[in-house]
Amino acid sequence: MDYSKFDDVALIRQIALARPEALSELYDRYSRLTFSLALHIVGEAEIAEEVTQDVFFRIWEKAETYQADQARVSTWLTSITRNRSIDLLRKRKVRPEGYSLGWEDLQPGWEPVSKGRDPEDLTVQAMQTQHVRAAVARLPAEQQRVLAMAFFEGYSHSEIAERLGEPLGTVKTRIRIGMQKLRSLLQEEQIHP
Amino acid sequence: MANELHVLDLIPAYALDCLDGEESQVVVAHLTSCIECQGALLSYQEVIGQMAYAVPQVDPPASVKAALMAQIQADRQASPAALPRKPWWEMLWDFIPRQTPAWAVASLALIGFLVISNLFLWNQVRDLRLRQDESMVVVALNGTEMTPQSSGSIVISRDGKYGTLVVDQLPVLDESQQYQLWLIKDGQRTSGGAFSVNKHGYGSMEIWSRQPLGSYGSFGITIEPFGGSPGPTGDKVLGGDL
Repeated sequence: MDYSKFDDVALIRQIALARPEALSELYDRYSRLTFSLALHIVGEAEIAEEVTQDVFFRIWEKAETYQADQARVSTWLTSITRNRSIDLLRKRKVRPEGYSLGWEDLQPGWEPVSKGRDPEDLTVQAMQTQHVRAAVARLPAEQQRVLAMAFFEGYSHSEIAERLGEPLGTVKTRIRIGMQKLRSLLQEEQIHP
Repeated sequence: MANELHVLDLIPAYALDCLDGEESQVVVAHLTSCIECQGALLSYQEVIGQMAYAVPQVDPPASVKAALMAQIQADRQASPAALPRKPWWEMLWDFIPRQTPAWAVASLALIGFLVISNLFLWNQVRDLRLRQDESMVVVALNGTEMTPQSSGSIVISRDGKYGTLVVDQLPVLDESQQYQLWLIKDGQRTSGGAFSVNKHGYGSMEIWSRQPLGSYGSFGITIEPFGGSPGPTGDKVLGGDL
């Protein structure tokens, strides 16, 4: 069976029927996104590899629990990846020396070329990346900062307030307004990979 | 629901998983019954899903996929449940060997029909048993050496709150005496009421009890002074266990 013709949801249904080839196809589509996010959060390639393998194995085990009306497959995957990466980060209690997790590192620049991937997929993903980065760049710096701390490092409102030395209410407002604005900006021009 | 009762202001942070405990609980409780806030949550979860694309995109080494597929292979071998999970109709189809004669297919269909029929009948029997279990309880009372011909029954309601005593062929007592019902639990006897019988030895009585009748293990009837006694004093004429 040619699983490359299946859409994401159909692939998940096939994975729920224990078809390894379907998982292989899903991996080809999203391992780059998963690994990249994990690598950015944990800061070490070896651990990011471990997270990536773990995320897809969880998909293998839990595919039947996926609800298509609740989230796109890519959203589900990134959610699992982020949670798993932040869990590891918390368990280790230390981050790689000199490692920062801000948006400022994410401006357009050199990206490694991916080998063996569908050029069309790569183009759409690249557009998506630029689209999100452009939206984030339009947020005020203080909103970018609190969103990065919450998204990449998994800090709560109160933890962010403590680390920044800002009032809790200020942090809450920045996160709320930042997210509202980001949603609005991303909805202006939807690009779905 | 008025907008101020929603938790829309908390949804962005909830989606980011950065709410502190108490606020998070408020959102969780509200989301169970608010379609509007559920919709808002989905839209912010999509935003968070897209935020992942902002990070530099790097391919994992090929060894990760190899390790993953090996892990899945090992999982499938370790657990039969992880073997391909086909829909039941596919499994049934696979069960029928190719080139199978028509009579074999018909036999298989007949077996399937019989299995389904048996399941249906089994369910009916089970339902009847359940209904029987849920119906009123009847306790049979038997005569003693003194009254071998006598008999009686106590019918207890489903919830155990109400009961009716019916007795037959008990000796007719003189006017100074009555029969008294005893409700027995852990050796303690509680009066269930005193009653008389007609000239045929037939009598009935609604039983009064502070505790559910179903909580008593045994029942007995003795001959007592008219109006009853605080405890059994006379001969036992009927008895039975729940």
